[in-house]
Amino acid sequence: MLTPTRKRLMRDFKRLQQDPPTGINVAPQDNNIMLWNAVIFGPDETPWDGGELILALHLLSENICEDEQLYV
Amino acid sequence: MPEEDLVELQFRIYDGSDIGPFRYSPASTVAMLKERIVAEWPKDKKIIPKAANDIKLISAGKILENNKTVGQCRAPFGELPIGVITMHVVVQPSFAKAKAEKDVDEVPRKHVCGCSIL
Repeated sequence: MLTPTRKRLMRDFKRLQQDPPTGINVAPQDNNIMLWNAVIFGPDETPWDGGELILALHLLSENICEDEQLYV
Repeated sequence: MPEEDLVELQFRIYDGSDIGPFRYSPASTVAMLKERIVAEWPKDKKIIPKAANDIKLISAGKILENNKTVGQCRAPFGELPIGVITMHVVVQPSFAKAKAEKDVDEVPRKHVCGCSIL
């Protein structure tokens, strides 16, 4: 079932794959766009410097807004 | 050997620059990728790893283990048409910190035993 939320998430994932930001690495788990694995690299000069934060993001709501510009 | 089997990988390091892209067979191991990254590391960077153990590879939201293959580390939803797969490289802190601190912390610690035998 391809809700607008899921379409938005697929779009975000594709963007992240094409140009990944330096400090994080993130991807959905196999075949479940609502559950993501993420690694955040410890920023310099913080207690997390040199380490990695390993997270699992569980998206609960199907109501993620399509257009961020509405929140300006 | 068909060219389509090869995977194109590039590696993004701490300052946002990329090493690669390189073509690898899906059967290549993470250890092999690390060796190549260390060999191709730009010499003008502030932090330069010396060995494959000095770096960690991160892809698809996971830290990759040395014995895994490239094929096992592919991001899901592989049907999306992506040309190059970009992985992140992190230099191990023990190496990076040791390099920065070796000139600072040279005071030898004195090991004095305080026990007395009566």
